[in-house]
Amino acid sequence: MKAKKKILLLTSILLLAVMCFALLAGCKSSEEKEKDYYENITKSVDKRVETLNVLSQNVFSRAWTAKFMYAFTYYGIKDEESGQKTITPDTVTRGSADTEGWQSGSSQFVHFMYFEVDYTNEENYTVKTTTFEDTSRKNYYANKDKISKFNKTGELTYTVKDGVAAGQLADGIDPVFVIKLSVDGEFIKQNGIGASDNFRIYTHFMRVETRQVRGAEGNLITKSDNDALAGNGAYWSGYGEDIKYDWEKVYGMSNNRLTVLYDKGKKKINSLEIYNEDIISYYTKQDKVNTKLVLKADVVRFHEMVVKFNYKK
Amino acid sequence: MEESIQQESASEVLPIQEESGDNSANDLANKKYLKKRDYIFFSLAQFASSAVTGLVQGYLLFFYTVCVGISPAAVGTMFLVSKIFDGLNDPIMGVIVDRTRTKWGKMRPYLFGAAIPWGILTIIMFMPGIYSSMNGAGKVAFMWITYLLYSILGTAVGVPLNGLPAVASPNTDERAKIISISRILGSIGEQSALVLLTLFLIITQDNYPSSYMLMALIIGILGPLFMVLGAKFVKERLEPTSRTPNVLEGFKYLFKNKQFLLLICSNLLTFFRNFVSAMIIYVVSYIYANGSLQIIFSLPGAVASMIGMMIAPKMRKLMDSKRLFILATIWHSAALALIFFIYIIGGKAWWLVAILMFIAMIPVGILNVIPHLMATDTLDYWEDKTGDRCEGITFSLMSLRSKVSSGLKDYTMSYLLVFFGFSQALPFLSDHTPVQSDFTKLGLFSIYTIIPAVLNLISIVPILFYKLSGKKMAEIQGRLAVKRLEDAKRLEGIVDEEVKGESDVYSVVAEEERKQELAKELDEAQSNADASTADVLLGGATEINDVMDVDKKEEE
Repeated sequence: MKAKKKILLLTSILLLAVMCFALLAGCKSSEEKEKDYYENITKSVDKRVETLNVLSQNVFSRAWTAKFMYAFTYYGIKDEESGQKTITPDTVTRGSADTEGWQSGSSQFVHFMYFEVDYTNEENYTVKTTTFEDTSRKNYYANKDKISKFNKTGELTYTVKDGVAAGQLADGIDPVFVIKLSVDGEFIKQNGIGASDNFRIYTHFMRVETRQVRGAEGNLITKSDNDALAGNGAYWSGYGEDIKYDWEKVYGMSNNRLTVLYDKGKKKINSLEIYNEDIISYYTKQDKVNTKLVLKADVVRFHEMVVKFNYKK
Repeated sequence: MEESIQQESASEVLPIQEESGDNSANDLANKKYLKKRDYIFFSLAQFASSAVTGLVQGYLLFFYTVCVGISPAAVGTMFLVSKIFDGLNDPIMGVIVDRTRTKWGKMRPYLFGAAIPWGILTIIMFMPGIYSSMNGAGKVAFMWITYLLYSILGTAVGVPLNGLPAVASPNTDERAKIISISRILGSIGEQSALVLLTLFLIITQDNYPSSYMLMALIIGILGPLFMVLGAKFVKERLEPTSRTPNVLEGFKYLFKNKQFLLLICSNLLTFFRNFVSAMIIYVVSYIYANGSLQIIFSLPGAVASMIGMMIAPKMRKLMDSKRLFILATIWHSAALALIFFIYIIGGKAWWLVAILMFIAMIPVGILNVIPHLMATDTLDYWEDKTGDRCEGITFSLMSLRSKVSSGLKDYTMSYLLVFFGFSQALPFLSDHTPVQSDFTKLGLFSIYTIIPAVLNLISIVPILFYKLSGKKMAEIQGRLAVKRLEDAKRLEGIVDEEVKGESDVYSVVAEEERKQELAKELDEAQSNADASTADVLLGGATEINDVMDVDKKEEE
């Protein structure tokens, strides 16, 4: 019995030693881990952009209709002059070490555009738009399903027939163009933060997320720009969940998220969602008790568009 | 004088000797043992224990993923592994409890010793300040260490606490009543975290990390206090069997007692039911974008669940536990499925969902009580079959089942959140509630309703093979009542033959301590003129005292 216990003990120690050795051998330096992280992201984004290009071609080779909202929120201050309500938008500023940035009294407002698209081919399609403004102080979610109560500011139709355009869209936005741009993926390949997809029984779900970091001049800071500054004023350090931003240098940031549900054979997109968050850094009180001004970051506006395609037979 | 002492003692041990033999077993089975204070203090202890577990099970996932910023996948993996770790922990604790012999019994010493450290560790887990200086790997390591320690201490409290009703009274109706009442208080305790969170969110103006910390402080301090009081006032009245099982026998018991095995398998598969309460915070935050709705969604569910617990003993009189379990499960699943279908055809209003969920939660109350009654039935079944009672192992495995279920729930939920594309809050923003996509929101509502509705039905399958129906249990209870009566008579016989040395029931070392304890209880009972104190087995020990004194006098 004692001999058996000794053999068991020795075997356990040996196994433990082998496991530790294997773990150590598998360990990588932090630089290698970071390099692997970004390489994997680039590969995964590229793979999904390929799929999006195929889907885009399939979508625009078929006839379909779609009705959807494009919503964006912003912070502003409502003024009432001469019985009229006006909103001064984008009253959020960075401030300074002595001055609070995000103005008190700012409330969130929502602007909607409603689209109806009837698409036959690239030379024949019609787009109707209606613009709504919400002059109340309610938040985005409270009003999202209550468009009938909003004030319409215009209703316009844009028609393309036999390749000839007529009419004018509100705010000059071409929703078909925006959709094409999204699925073509031009804007999604910068500073990617991740891409993923999931398999469902009948429909695939794909998501691509990207992040863009901006400096004091509004200039875009790429990863290579940041790497060049490593140890001497870098805009951020770390990666993945451990990433830390220097808000003294980072003035703004955009997170973009594209979500696509498409059928199993990659023949068509069922729905598409584009979501964007604009983030700024600003000076504000540390907390409700401590009045010292510190730099914080928050979402100042977001844009959302969800399109469901109804294909014609 | 000596004869009258013997006669009096005999009447205390066997108060039914004068009656006919046919009624004596029934009278013994129906005798009342529990006092009001047993119900009150045990229920308070359950309230406290549920408050701690409700806080951790309901909010720790959200705290780790949203306040601390650990990925759902990492948290889910930790929960699953730690629950599996309990696979070793819980049965070992059950065997330890079954092997324990102290003057306080075999359950209570662990409540005295483990409750306070458990409360302290709960507070530490919810301290946001501790995590702020750690990097990602540090947070994950700290999460693992604290949660494993919490699990160990939770086992040391939970196993004996859940086993206490089985030894507080041999009367099954009293057990049903104390389990039912304590489960109701336990259900209230589970929601105490929600009430405190809502209150602190108002006070701190929606500062989630601070609110979680304050909530943990209150529960971590008051919880152990109530548990210690429960241990102090609830007596263990059922004597342990003479045999003390070893660890291996403890594990083997699960496979030997097939009825208990079926019960455990069925209960393990009920973890999908727990998605409902865990998803409330996600539904109100991301679908309805109104955190204050959490209390409106949770409290009616808790009230409905309590109604279910209250009606469970009454419904048990109409049908046996097996049928009641199946009926309640189908009711719950059908109601959840209905809520989902109404939602997708346009019934999305929060008040409509809350009202329908109230109806869906009533059977959950029944399902919170019935398995514990079924577990005590399996104990009686085993005693009838083999003569052994294994409360410690039984309730340790029930506790293990609960923890593995909770771990499976957290793990599965974490991966479902990833599957449906849940966007986490960005930790470097001071206030971030990301807008979830329409697909994700539908996914969140599915995890809340249709997924548990369908998968919960699987738990019925093992119960279809469960044999302990009402009629069978009545036969077993009758045989056990006769057996206990015979044991009491045999005890009297053993005491008559022995003067010194160890008996089959008591060791010599424990005997003196027990005599002092019993003398105190006897005085209390006599002054209160409460006959229930001098029950069969305690009365037997009192008789030993009298008879040994008489024998000593004879020798002198």
